[in-house]
Amino acid sequence: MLFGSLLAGSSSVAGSEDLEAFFEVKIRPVLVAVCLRCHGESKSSAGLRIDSREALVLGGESGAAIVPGRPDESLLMRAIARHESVSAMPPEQEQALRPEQVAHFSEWIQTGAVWPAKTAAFATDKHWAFEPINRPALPNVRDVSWVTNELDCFIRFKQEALDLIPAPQADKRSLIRRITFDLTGLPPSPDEIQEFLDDASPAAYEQLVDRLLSSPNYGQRWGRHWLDVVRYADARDLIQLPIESDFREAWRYRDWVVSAWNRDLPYDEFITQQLAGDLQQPADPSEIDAEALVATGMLAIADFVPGDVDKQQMIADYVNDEIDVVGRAFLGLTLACARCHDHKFDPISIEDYYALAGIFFSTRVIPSPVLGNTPLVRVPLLTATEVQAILRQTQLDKQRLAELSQAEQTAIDLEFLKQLESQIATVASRDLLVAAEYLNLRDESSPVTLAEFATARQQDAAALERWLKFLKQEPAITVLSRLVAEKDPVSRTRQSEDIANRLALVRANRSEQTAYHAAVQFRADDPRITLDTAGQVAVWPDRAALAEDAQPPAGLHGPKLTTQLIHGNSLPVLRFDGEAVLQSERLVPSIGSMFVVFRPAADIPSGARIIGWEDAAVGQHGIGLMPSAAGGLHAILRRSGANGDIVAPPPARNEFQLISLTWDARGSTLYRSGELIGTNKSIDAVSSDPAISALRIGEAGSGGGPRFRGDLCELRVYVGTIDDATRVRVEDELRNRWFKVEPVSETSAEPLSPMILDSAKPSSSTVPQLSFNPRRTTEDNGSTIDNGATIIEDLYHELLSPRSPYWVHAADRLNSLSLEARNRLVARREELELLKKKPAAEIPQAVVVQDGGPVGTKHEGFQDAVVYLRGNPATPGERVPRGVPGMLAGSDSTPITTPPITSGSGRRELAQWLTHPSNPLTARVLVNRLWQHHFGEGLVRTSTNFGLRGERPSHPELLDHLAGRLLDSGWSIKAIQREIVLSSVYQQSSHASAATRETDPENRWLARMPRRRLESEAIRDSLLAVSGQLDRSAGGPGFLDAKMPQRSLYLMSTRTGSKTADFNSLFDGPAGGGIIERRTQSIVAPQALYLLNDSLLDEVSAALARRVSREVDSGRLEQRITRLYELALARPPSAAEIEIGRQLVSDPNVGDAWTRYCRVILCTNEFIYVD
Amino acid sequence: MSIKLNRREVLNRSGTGFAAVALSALLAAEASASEPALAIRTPHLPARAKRVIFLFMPGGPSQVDTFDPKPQLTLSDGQLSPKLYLGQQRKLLASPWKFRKHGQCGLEVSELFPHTANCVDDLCVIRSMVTDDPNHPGGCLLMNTGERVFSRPSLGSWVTYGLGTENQNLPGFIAIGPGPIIEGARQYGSSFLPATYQGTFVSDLKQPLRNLESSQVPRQRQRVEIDALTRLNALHCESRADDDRLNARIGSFELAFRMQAEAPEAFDISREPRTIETLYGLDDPKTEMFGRQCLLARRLVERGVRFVQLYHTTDGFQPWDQHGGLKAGHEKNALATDLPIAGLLHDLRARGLLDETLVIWGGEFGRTPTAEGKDGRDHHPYGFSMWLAGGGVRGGMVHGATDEFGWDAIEGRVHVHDLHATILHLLGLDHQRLTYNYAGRDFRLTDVYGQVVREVLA
Repeated sequence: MLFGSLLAGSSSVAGSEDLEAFFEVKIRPVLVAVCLRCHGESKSSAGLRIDSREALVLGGESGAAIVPGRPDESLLMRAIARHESVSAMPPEQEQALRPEQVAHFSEWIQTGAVWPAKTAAFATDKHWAFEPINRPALPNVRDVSWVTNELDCFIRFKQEALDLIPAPQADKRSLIRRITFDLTGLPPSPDEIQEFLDDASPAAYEQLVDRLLSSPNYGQRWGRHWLDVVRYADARDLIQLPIESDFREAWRYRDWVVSAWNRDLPYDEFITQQLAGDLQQPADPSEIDAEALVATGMLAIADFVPGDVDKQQMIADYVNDEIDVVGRAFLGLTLACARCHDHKFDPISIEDYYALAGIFFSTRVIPSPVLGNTPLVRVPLLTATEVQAILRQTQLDKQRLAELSQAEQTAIDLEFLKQLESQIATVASRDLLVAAEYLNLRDESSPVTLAEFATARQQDAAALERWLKFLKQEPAITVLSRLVAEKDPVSRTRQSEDIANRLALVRANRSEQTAYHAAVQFRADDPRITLDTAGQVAVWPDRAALAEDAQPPAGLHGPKLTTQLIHGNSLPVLRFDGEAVLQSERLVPSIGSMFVVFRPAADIPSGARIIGWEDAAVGQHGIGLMPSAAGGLHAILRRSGANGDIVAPPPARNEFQLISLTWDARGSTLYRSGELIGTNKSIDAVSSDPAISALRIGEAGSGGGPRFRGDLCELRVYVGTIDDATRVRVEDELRNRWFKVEPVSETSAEPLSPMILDSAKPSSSTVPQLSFNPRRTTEDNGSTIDNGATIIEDLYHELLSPRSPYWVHAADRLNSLSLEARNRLVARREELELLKKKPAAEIPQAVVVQDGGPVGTKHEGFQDAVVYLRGNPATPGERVPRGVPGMLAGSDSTPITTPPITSGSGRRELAQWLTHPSNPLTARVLVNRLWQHHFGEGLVRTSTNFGLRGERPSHPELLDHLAGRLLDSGWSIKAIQREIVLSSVYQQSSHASAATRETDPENRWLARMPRRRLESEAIRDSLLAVSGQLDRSAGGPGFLDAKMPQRSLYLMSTRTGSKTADFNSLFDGPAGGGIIERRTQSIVAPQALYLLNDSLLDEVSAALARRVSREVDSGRLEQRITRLYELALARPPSAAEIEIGRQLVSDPNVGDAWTRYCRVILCTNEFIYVD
Repeated sequence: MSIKLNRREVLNRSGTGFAAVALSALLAAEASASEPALAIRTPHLPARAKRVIFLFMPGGPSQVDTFDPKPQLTLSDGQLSPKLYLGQQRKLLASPWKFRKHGQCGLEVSELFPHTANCVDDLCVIRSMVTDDPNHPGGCLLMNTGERVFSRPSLGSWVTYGLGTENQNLPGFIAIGPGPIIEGARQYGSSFLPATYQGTFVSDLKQPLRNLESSQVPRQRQRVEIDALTRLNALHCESRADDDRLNARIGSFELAFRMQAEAPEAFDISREPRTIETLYGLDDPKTEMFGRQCLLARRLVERGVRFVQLYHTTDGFQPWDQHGGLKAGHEKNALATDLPIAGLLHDLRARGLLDETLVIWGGEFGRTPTAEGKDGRDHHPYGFSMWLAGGGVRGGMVHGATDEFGWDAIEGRVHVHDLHATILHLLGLDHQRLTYNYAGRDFRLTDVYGQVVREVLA
């Protein structure tokens, strides 16, 4: 504490360094903060400038401002002390200097007004760090025997000047423990120690170093040091931010850093990829350099709040963060200080800042600002071709899954239908009778409850309720109403049996195929059609088994119900007016057939579809049916873009026509009135777009064309292959219903109407007016169920419909089936289950930056930045061309020739400038940082600040020597580290002689090796390693649980601390918040509590105890203790230590004495300190 | 325990246990060289308060519905506001709550806070707070760290760094909140200050601190083991006598052992009598959670903890953020906190602690006098209310004012930096002199801003 010792004491100042420090701490800040605005380069009020000693001595209009050594004669003193004789400075009373500040000025002038810089102004270009890198000659050292390599000369030279004697070389055990922790963050194993001890050759240590430098654990250790200075975190906040606004793929950047250190990626390339890896992509667009893209994650993990409402501010903030990290990590300069004003200490102007800012404003971290949380820029780490392939495969899987799901549901439905039909035949009669009885009883005001009644009849109460509901539905089914109304139990039983018999007959007559496969059946003559107040169809009952009713889509209306003469008969039709649509939730069957009875209006526009069951976007999937005004047809069939379309000419006359369309293995085929009118064999099935889940009648298909105009009588869709005989049967059925040649008289006994309605009781305001049906039978007293098979058939259909008492919802259908039926389905499920479990094909992506400012902002594209006065985007100043800080453009002798930024953001040029061999800072800052991690302190202890307020190097020549070596080695980091750790200075013991401690308490001159506490990561990794549990696998997303066996590098950290693993914060590990120049090494009680009581230590201690007992015969207590010491502390125990161990493990009252003893050893100072 | 450290060692880490040491170059410079490094620091100025309880109301309570009555707003209900917000002109919304004068001072408080209103003679209500950030993350960070974007030490960390703590067996700075908080650990983190000064966050009130109990061995056996550990460490130290850190670490195990006994007691509110439980609302589920937090705060400051911050996060991480459902939301929040806060103030006074304890109430910003939807208010940084009570604060007064609608602070504006300067001042710290050198310059809580609000000082 140079300043501290000076300032804490009195004015007993000694050396010039102290005086300079005094100036820096007490005088310069006041001059800059208070005086410079009026007396500087831009403005020199009263002719006075205060930015150099010379200027002060020279003075202004009133004469010399200071007389060094004579405060009482200095005008400045009178001004700041506010003497009446002169103008008080500063003029504003509230900014007057405090008495102690005035005293400091007095003291400063008294001691000679020492001004540290050799030249005059603040904007010195002679600050040591900004000078070109020297290639200093090796100093002449007397004690050459101590010198192992060149860098020892620099160290020993200084020591000799101070009469310091270096510590002896460390013993081999200490050395291997030190170097192993230093290079890999892990303890050496007993075998590694033994091997090193046994190798007496002079090259043993060198070989050890080389082995460790090439270990994959090296990158995990040293990559982490780098991550500290680029404010790495695994994410910003894993709880409150949406995925797209958080940098959750940051781990790819972390893994890239580890790999770069392991590969010894030359440092210039390491910098360039991080700054401009996106601009280093291969010229061939079919290739990609994923590593270089990932490297730009360094910029992409910028610290900012993505939800800022002020997006200008937000962009300015992340630009500032990027400048800060570039400045401090690469250059050792606090560039970000110049955001609001010229740097107070370093020669960095606000224009320099905005020249850099222009580069980063022209680089996007966010694609463009949006309301709320702004997403980050992400790119796939694959070529376009690979991405396409994955997307295609995903689409195919999705489609296949939809097909299989549909097939499965169909299979389930078929089984369910079988079950339903069997119920109709077997139990409907009994259930019906029970329900009818109950209704009768209730009418007689019997007090029996439904539950009691059900129990008495051995009927399920819920089933009974469903039957009651069925019997009460509107419009009522006459045959059932009559049964319910029957008071005579005997007659009631007879009627119910009669109904059951007839239902069984219907079943027997049903064609397996059509009965089981009809998926859609709409009929215009369906009495259940409900109309809205405008006379338009509100609900259209689907007559198919298992089918739900249809409705117009939201916002549209249904067709109108009207009558038309068809072949002389007045029949109901549904009139589509170009606006009407009905929609039924259902996927297109991949194989199936469709029957339509319809007539297009004569003025139908071209392209209108009667059926639009296609994907809306690009015509890839589904089915459409497009009639022309004359009645011609275009059937559209698609399978993943391939088509099997059929175009058929119009019939002779545009009248109602019956169309059959089939699509299956035979291709697609179109019939009109049973005659083949077109075929296409190109596809064997159609694909269904999972996004189009509804059959739309009258809806425009792909391309959003006009809607259908005309009349529709009936529509049916069947799933699966339908043979010709069945097709003909269905056609016959439709022809019979709609195209009967001879008109039927009013008095015909054969009712065409499917169902008898109780029209006296309108169900609602939307009850259809059924006057269109001239043959509706009024309820004649005598007729019971004799009025036709149709009635029973319709009842049968009702029992198969969603209104059925036996109905089960689709989702529950599988479970409602018998075990036997379910077993039949199992085989089909296998592929489906496999496909469902198949992980979604992932396109690896990374958070990166891209060239060009965020779209839709004033930074879009490539723009020079405008100075923000006081750092406020709301107060813009002049525009500054993009570029690098002016004063660091190299010296006259070795200029840094940076090409001008003519295109792009300029990041490439920035990287070229940073890595230019004449840039004085980049190499110095790196070698200093390497030194810091090997020795605990850098040669410059302020390792992210080489500016005027940073500390001067203890060994400037050594720093330059190392920087020069780095350049000579082609920026090889490992080469420098190798030189450092092979030196004598590194191999010293950490034990200091009393003389050394006296002369050099802070160990600036390195006459001993500093003892160091392990970092957070190394502590935890050691615990896992010595207990034999460490998993050395590398990479991937971070994890939260400290008990996971992977290395601590992978413990999760977030900027906000949410979901951050709790271990690191306890031992001064990275918090993920900001740039970490150097880890603190706190010693606090919670650390002790953790080691004493945490369950991680429970596990580790027990594992260590097991390991010791496994590796050494249990009878040999002393050997076991020795083994424990070798594992945990890399040395054998002393006799005293063995005795303490013996006492601890021999306590008969402690069951797991060895586990407890191991824990004590893990708590020792020696375990976490390295000599 | 007496451990000698040289100044450089002190700078490198943070001393033993929770003992906090003022480490700024300036403080160090002004301290006598012979002063033991681990002592509680003497502040720059005479301190009016020794400790702080900050009742933080995340989400932003509405000023015009709590402590800043606006009759003109009531009269203008439904009219367009003359001020634009995010470029929009919105309709003014009258407060659904009535205000009434309370106490001897006659200060007006809304009916949302019937119990706090009874303590109004102790409160100094600042109606002219302003902040820079209308968003939750930035607003909260600014209020709690003085900076809206970048990582900076929190208020509690600065205070602990400046003053140390009075109880070496407990953390000096404790934050308590049952749920997660926005921006997480940054709100109570120490950033570039040594890790000792970071707040200890307690979310599980039943298990406040981790690892206070060994699952494996009884206390006596642990004593035996720590003794053995000390002997082993002593052997290790023999040839390393110059390294004070090794002794400090031995001491940390002793401290840990004592904490195991003391900390559970400090956090154990079951030791409180029934009357106290009732006072804090522990017997009513609606007030129980915040009541527990308040009672814990009292127990902790009583035991010498320097800074306690309570986050009201019973219902989500920003319960006061009523963009909609203002009436129900503010009512629920007020109900949950009002009685416990009044209980805390009463209890502190009854124990003679209030005079030396600074209590602060408020959120990261206020809410617009205009409506969002039918029954909501948006974020509002231009003028909002907070209150101070206790140590060194003039009770029963209002400082500053907003305009007729409660929009802009127009009199006695108090920026967050000014509030921070004032809090430090009350604790005897000069906000311009409490600095820490980092990244090439001296940092302060108030950056380059901040004026002590002298009007609120008693």
